[in-house]
Amino acid sequence: MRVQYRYLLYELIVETPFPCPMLQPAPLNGVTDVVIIDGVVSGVLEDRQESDSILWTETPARLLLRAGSRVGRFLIEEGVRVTLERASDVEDEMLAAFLSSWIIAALLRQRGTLILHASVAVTPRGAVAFSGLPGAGKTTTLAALLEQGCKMLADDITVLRFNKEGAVVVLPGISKLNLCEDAAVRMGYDLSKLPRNPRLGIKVMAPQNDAMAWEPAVLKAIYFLCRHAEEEVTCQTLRGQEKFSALQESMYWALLPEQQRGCFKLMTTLINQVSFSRIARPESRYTVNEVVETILCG
Amino acid sequence: MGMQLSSNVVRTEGMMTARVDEDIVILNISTNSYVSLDLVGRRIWELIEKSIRIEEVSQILFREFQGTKEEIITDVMIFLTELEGDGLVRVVD
Repeated sequence: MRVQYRYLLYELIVETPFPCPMLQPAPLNGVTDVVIIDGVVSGVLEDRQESDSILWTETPARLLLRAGSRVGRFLIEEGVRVTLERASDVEDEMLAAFLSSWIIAALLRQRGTLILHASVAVTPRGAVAFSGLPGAGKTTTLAALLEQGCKMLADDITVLRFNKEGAVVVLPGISKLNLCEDAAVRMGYDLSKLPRNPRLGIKVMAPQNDAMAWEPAVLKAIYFLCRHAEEEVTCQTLRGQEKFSALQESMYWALLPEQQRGCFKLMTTLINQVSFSRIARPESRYTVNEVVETILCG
Repeated sequence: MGMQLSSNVVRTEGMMTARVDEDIVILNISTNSYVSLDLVGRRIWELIEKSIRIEEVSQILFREFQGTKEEIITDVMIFLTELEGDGLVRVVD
């Protein structure tokens, strides 16, 4: 007999054979949406021999994730089932880190939601997302907004779906920030008290249970963060095709053609519902306060 | 046969489209990409919902937008040839 643990992630109750202490425990009476089991996982998908990358191979309903010889392989199917063939010496913390990132993103994608590589805060204007390349300042901006009294909805993985009224909402994610060490120190955290993200070794995890918003919120704006050689923080509103291109850049994973069709209405509703802007900040100095002011002023 | 002024053209069936501000965005499933059309492109896209001669498309645009007939015919031919190359339009002669 094996112990199974149950957690709530992005509205899904996930049953796992390994503990994930950083995740929110599932409500006792909730019905399980996803089951993760230990088993044998082939290194190829029989219905798709060609790999999309060294790491994964995908069809609309199945994703094989090859996480390396020190972690193992995951087969994610139909948005409801994950089979894990773990490496003999992999630690539970590493499996939990994969569940909180790629595994949950793959499950939610198979369920038809739209997933952005972005962080989201609930501001007095409503929910606001920040996207951008690694190092653009997504989490740092989110953390600075939390210091201003805003609430957090998601860090790094932002999941979008329709609500009953047909608006696009952001689902509450995992209540922790993945901060670079220098940003954590600048924000007053004691590094010795923060666990390191086992998957992203350069980042530490700062729990944010008190700052978390636990209900989905209608998305009002997306800011695409980037750096430039100028001295000032600039903010440019995007229109038309620019919005579509920016949204494509922000996808957590590029969509397969079948998924593009399934997500088209969600994407176009999103594009017409929210404002899109590109914030460029100087490379030469620390400007998070100016970025935050730009966002709060809208 | 290539596209000519006397050719009839029509949109390829099954494309998903959406209005985004002043543009129209088309999901091209065969290339897994998006194509965006501005104000004039959007008008042409509306006109080719049903089979129509390119000459007639050009005449309508000449009435609705600025430009000489020659300029408009040239632009329409280039535009439709590009859409045909992307698989979004077909000649139905």
